Amino acid sequence: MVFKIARRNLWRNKRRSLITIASITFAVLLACVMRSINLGSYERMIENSARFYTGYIQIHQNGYWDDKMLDNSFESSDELIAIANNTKGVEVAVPRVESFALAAYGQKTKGSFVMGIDPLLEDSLTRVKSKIVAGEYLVDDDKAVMIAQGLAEYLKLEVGDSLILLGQGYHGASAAGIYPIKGIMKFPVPVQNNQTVYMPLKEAQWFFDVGGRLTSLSLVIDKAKNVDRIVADISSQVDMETLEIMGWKDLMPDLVQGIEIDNISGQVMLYILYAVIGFGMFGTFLMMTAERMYEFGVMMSIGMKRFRMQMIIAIEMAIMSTLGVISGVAISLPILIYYYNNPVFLTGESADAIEKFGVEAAYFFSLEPSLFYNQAWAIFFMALILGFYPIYVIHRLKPVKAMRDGI
Amino acid sequence: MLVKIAWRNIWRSRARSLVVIGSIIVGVWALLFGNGFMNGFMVGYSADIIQHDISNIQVHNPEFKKDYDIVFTIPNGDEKANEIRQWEGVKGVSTRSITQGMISSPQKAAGVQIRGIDLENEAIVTQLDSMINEGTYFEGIKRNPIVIGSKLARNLKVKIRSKVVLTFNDANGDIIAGAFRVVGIVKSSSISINEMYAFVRQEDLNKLLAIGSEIHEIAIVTEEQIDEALIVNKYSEIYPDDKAESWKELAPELLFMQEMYGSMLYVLMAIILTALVFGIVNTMLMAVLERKKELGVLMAIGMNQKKVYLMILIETLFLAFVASPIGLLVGYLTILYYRYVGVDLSNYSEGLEAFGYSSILYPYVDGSVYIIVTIGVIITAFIAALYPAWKAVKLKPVDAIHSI
Repeated sequence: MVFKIARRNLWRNKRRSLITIASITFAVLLACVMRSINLGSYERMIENSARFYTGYIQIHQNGYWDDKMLDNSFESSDELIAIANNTKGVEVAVPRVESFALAAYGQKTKGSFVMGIDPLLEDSLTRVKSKIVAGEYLVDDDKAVMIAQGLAEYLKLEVGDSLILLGQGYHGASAAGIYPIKGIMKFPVPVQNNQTVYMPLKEAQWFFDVGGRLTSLSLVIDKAKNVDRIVADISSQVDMETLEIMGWKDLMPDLVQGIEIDNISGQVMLYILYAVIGFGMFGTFLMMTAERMYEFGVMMSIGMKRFRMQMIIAIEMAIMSTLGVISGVAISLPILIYYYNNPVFLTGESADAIEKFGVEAAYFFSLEPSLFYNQAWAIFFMALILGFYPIYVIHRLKPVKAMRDGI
Repeated sequence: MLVKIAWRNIWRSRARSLVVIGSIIVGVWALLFGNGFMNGFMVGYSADIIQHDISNIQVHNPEFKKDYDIVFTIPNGDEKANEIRQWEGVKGVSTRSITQGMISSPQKAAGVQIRGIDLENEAIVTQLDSMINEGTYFEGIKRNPIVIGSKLARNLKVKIRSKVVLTFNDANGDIIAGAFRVVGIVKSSSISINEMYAFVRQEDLNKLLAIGSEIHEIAIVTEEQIDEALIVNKYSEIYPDDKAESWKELAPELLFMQEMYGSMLYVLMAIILTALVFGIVNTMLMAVLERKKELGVLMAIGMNQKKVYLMILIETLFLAFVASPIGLLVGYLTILYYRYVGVDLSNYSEGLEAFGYSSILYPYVDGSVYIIVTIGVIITAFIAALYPAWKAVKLKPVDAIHSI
């Protein structure tokens, strides 16, 4: 009975119901868009760092990550690489030997970061080949190096010149070598651009005297959300006493923290948006109530119990909130799917300033399911809480006065 | 006449008007506070880096920064520093000799920037002494003391009083190695300080570099509210051969962060404005449709469509004009309040400070933003009124009067 009246009330004045539902719909839509753009930018940051730098997962000797020295490298085996490659979701396993060495040419020296890479596999992870601005990319058997542009400029080196590397190898062995420059790479990140030296894996293993050892094995995987499962899968097959397997969250705590911090500002802005849309919704509810004062007065004077009337309104509110939230998600989905696939690129001076740092100047959108879920619930509850206003009005209603003032 | 009717209409139905006024007030407040908060977030971050690391202004030999070649010193650097110290608006000036090299412990080696500092003035300019976490600020070790960052210390596995060796080129191009003993470990929110710098006494470094009392860098901290550009210009006029730069040129990444935030801010503001539009549209639409009968009567007694249209627009604009100043005032007061007490975010993230943000934010709004927000909101209200006004015009007088 109560339900029936509520439903009929909604149908009776379609225009009013639609406006109320629309106010909820837009609230959900806007909250979803705002959150999507926030989360989208984080997903992009993770993607950029994990896909093009560290890999989503790395395997090292237990303790290497806390103390990145060659002594903490591990003996790589075909078996381990096979385990990694055969785990579902892993696309490729990229081996590396990394350490510091002093780079010198002519009168100049500079601390540099030497990375021993498998040229083919490394390119599949970091697309380093595309970073080359002069010379050529390394091949497996080269006894040559590629250096970053900033370092090359500092040392005043060009392709074909010889670079002297001086450092410390495995177990304190001294590492020294002279290598022709085969290529020069340009990295967008200044730190990377000022100190990176790449050499083929085999040569690096010889240079640092580590034999067949690696400092890390980075895994490229299909989907970021599979990280935990893949880490667990591989962990169960290898000796966890000697190896450590880390996901991107452990590899890049700075990034995770940076996102958390940025997320605080995102949350605050979201609350501010809630305040604005809450007020908009409240305005609609208030108008709706004012408009219906006469009706309330009549209903009450012909004998409807206050509580029943409140029940009716509560059901009306619940129906409208539900419809509003559902249509809000239904409208935001196609919009966000479109923008997810077509990020909005910025132009102009600020875009230049951003792109200088190798970051795409664009708004990226997220389609994380929890975003829709969270926003839908948040707005739904907000609508229900604001819906107490008409219920409160009925509670205080004086039928005669309501009928008189109502028109 | 129309204006008068519109004005009266607003106050005839007080509840309805107050709702629209209220949502505009909230909108204006939200725009101001959101803007101030985001600015506080960004400015707070830059401020720390400027204060503890790069300072407001740095002066170098124009050739020096190209490849940090130590022969490119600032001629008469010490005298210049002493002179700048007397300038109005300058809070502190410190000189540094700088070279790039390698620091090695028995276990490990890493590339560092070795900074020969003037102990007393460095404490004024970057407050290096206040960041000492373990050990002391160059006290207790007589010969070749060195202060390094906490992360570097951890990487090298060194403690207070451990010995480290610095290797670098001297002025003749020979490779020089010097043994130093760790006297203090600094901990800071800045990644450079934690990991990339090694601080030694200027006289110790200069002796090894064989550059006498020459220096490579003058760091200047200005008083707050002073535009760095003024000091930069003044210096450049007097000493055109040196290169003075403000933090904007020195740390383009801070500008980058600001641009990133700025671009995000635009979107957030746009979303809030859209929310405001919908709030007003909905309320005005209801208001118009609620007044069907009244509007029908007005039209029946001869008010033409154009006038009805205008009337609704004027009403909305009135509401915006009444609401905007109140919203501005509330926003201004909120920001003033939080500028004084700060927004404490320590509950949200423990790592805030560790990452280079201070956990208390001071919102900050540029004066021009108040004007932009006001204009934006009035335009918004105007746009929001178009649809309801059009709806009103579409009413058929007879039907409208007949409806309850």
